[in-house]
Amino acid sequence: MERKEHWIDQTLATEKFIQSVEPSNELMMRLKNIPNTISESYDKIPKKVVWAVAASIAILVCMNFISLKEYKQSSSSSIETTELLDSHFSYLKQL
Amino acid sequence: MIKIDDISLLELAKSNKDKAFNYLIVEYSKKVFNTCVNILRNKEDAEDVTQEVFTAVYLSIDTFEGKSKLSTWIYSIALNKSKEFLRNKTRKKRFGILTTIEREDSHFMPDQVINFDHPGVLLENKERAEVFFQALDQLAENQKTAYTLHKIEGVSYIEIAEIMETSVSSVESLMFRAKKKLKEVLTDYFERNER
Repeated sequence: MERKEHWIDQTLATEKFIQSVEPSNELMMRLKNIPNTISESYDKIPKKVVWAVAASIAILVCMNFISLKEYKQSSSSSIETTELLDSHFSYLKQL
Repeated sequence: MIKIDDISLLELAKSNKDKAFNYLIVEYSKKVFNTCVNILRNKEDAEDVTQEVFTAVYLSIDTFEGKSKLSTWIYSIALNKSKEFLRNKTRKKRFGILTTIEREDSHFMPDQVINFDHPGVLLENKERAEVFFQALDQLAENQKTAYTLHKIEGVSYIEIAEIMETSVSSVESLMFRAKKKLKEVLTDYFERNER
């Protein structure tokens, strides 16, 4: 029993023997180079491509907006036609 | 090196981001690397994740509002990135019964134990440390996080509460349950191996 308790205490005490580690010089170099790698990756995309994508998105949004507007207009005119026909047929029925 | 307080550093980040970032590297690289090492237990993996952490820090330092301490913010990023890395690695190597890392009651062998290469553990302690970390992996994720931060990293309960976005009493409770579970797991291990 004592042996078991001792072993458990010893194993739990392992945390005290874990030493703090210094980052390697290579890692420090990688960290210091982060601003350069990030700006390089931004520069990799040509500005022409960025503008082309932005213009395509703008055109797509405009086209959707126009088609939605036209759809609304056509649906409101079809409602008007239906109402006109309804009133015409009810007039005929009365006759 | 001159100590700069959080507010001054955030001001500096707005005017000279690279200079502020260099200061952060000198001040926090060791802490971040050690946090990653203690979670991943592999030097190469910890180096990769440390780089990811500082990339995230660089990308968002100028928009950081300073609602929490800088150290707390950086610790949180390090924790999240390490956990994310482990999840991805475990998902890739998952097969048979070696399944999920989140299960509290399973007796699986997680990836970081298989590839145990903790640079902070001396050779004479390696065998015992492996058993200790294997037991640590049996804990629920939040218990493991609290225990690792407090017992291995020496982070205070108050700061752990901030990092884990919980109360100090919850951290105390997590630590209590972690210690209890660790003893249970080690007892079970001892009885099975009859050392």
